[in-house]
Amino acid sequence: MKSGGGSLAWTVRTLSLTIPIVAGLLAEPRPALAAGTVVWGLPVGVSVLDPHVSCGWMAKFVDYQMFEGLVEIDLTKPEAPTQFKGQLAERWEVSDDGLVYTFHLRQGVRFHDGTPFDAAAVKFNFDRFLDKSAPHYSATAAGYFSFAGISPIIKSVEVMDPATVRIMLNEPNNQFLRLGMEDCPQLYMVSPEAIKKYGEKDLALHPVGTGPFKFVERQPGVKIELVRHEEYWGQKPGLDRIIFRELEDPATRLNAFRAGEINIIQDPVWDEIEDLVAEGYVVTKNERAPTLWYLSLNTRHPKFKDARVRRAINMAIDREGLVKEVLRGYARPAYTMLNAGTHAHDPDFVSFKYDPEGAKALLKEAGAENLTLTFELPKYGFGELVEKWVQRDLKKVGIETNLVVMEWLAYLDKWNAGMPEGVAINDMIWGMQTPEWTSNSYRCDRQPPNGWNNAWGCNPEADKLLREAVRKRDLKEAAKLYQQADRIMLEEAAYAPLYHYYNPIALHPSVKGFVNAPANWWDLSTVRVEK
Amino acid sequence: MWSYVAGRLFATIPVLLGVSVLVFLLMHLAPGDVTGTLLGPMASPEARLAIRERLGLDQPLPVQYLTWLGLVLQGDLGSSWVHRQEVADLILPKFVNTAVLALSAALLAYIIGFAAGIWAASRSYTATDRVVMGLMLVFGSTPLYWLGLVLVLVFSLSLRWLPATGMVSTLDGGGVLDVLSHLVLPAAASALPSAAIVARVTRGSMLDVLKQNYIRVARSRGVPWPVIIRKHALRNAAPPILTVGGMELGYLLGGVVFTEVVFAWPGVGNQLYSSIVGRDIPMVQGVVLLIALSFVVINLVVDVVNTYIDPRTRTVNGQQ
Repeated sequence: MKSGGGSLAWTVRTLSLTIPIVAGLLAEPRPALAAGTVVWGLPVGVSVLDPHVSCGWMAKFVDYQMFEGLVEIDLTKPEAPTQFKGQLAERWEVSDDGLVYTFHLRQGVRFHDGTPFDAAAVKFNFDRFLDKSAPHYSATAAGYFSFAGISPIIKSVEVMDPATVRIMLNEPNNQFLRLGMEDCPQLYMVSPEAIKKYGEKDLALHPVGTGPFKFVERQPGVKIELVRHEEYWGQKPGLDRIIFRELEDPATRLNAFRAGEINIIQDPVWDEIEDLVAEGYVVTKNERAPTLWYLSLNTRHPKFKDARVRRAINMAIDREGLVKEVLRGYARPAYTMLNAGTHAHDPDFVSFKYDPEGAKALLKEAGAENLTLTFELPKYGFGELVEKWVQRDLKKVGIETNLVVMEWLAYLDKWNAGMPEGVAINDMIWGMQTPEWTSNSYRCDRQPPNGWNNAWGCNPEADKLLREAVRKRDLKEAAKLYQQADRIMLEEAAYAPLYHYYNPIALHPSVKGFVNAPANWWDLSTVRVEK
Repeated sequence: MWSYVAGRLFATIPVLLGVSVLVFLLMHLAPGDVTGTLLGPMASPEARLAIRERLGLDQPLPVQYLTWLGLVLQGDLGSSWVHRQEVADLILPKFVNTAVLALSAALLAYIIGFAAGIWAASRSYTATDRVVMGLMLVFGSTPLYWLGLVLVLVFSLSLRWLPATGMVSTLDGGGVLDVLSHLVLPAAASALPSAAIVARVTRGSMLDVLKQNYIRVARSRGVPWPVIIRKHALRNAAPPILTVGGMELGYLLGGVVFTEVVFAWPGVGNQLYSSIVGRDIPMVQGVVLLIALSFVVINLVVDVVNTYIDPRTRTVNGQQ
């Protein structure tokens, strides 16, 4: 999930007032920063750099450069769905019954602190969240891995020999590997010596992995600095160093970029993208990023108990207009909860077309006219432009909504707890590369606190399909089952998907080789910066 | 004099205690739950309970407060829940950064405000007075955030004279000149609204003094106007100006948050903003307490300086 702060509307208004003052003067990009260095402007702060107790896209992004897992998704290609690549495991096998994963480890790899990576190190890392008797067991890590649905799947982790590890599952799960590659938490291999030396409290200040970049320093709120790991086992990265700057305010981030103080920014203000391109900057996007913005429609709300009302909400929203006018083409209308980054995504499926007249008729039929509803939303880095668009569309079919804006973390707690009866609508931007994300949104047993089915939807038929899907060995067959469940649940209309976001990223022209992969974090080992 | 200082020092204790209680309660009564921050969104109820016990959040509020206060008195501000580092280690360097910005802004505000106030007072009710004070009114009413963005657009993006963000250059920054170049725009943006207030108070105070009989006498004896302003008016007009000046410095210390956000200045204001959003209670408590302490100390210093300048103000609880 993303986090953020600031108001886009305010920024846009401010810039629109001030830009004419210097119109025509921002003609071209500043000269490049030093060759070999990327300074990346992050849109939000980074949580702790201990992958096992960390949540959030930004921490995953920083950790991705320093740490490695046994298997990782390959972010050097823009196509979706992403493919796996062996990282610390050269290869792996899955038994016919899908219960045993055998990993053959890469030889001669060392952590940044010089200690060797081997099967014992793998077991040590798994024990941190699985084995309560281990001296380095972390209850916090255990909480994260349980939440992600990873630890409940694992039956045991065994060291076969120094170069082989075997993981047994309790039941077949075709998404086991992908679940370990998400951001919350991250199944990365951390130096056992560092875990022992620094303990849970200080480990995040001394992150030690095996990746292409190693940690230099972190000044909270100022920068995180990494340098190339010269002894890296694989292809040496093209950059000498990476500096991440946490610039939560969108206008500040853009100013620093235009002033030549940073050379890549994430989520430039949508209205400014056209100007940035005209000024000579490069703006990349990925149309299959696994990023979905959606509304939850509370099935326990007195006015929403009739599914026809929830369907009418879906029909009342002009998604085409939203992506064109507000997101300036950096998103595509969403009619499914299976985001564009998953292998189960069906781009042709349309759940509910824009049909305000049909919505009105449906509301009349359900006896739900002149509704006034509460719509909760987080204070978010993009402002409330999207929610206001939805509010306007709902008003057109006779539904008044009161927007209740909350601070991000307070909102998240409330969102996680599931909607109380008095709240009709809330929204979220999220998405994972695994379609299992929809299981956690749809299944009856994944209602809070056991998952993020916070609209309290429940359909036994969809449940059965989802349980079957994750056990299938054939991913194409699994995809069909996920799609069937998605259709059933969208007919139930506990959610209203709004749009698939394209993750725009702006680059200084001196930055080469960057791949805007279909993920919410990126591989910087392919990047070069020319003078 | 010393008994006055001791009395003023003693009077700061209830103020600081009051601040600590308020800060403590405010953060605890706000919605949200830190276990979500620490354990991730879907941690088990058992894990949440365990962390609440570990942090002492299962204790009654007065117990939590007293425990915290006891530690603070020993210099232990606790650990940040988000950064998992000692609060003091995190905020002290940032407080220095904020102090650098606030002091520079205050200095600039005093120079501009003092000069404008005296100038306007010495030409009271003329066109000059109206133009100067009108300009000050504009400065005082300008939103800091907007002013910051305009300064960046003009001096950084357009003219390319000064950097737009940060305290030092991103790549291998450092050194006095580097910091100074980064300081100019945020200090100017913060200074202008404060300058407006200092100017108004200076003008008002000066006008009050200039109406006094001893000034008339001095004028009738032919003492030159600049000498009257410098030697006779300014010293007597100083106490309210100093008081407001001190308060402005206090406000700047706590109030440069917008400037820090716009210019990505790595100070406590910026930190306070992200700590509140992140519900990092020990950090919020530490920062607010530090700002409150500075505010109280600044006021104390101003009061002591005032009594040095003007013996009439040496009164504590009615005693000379």
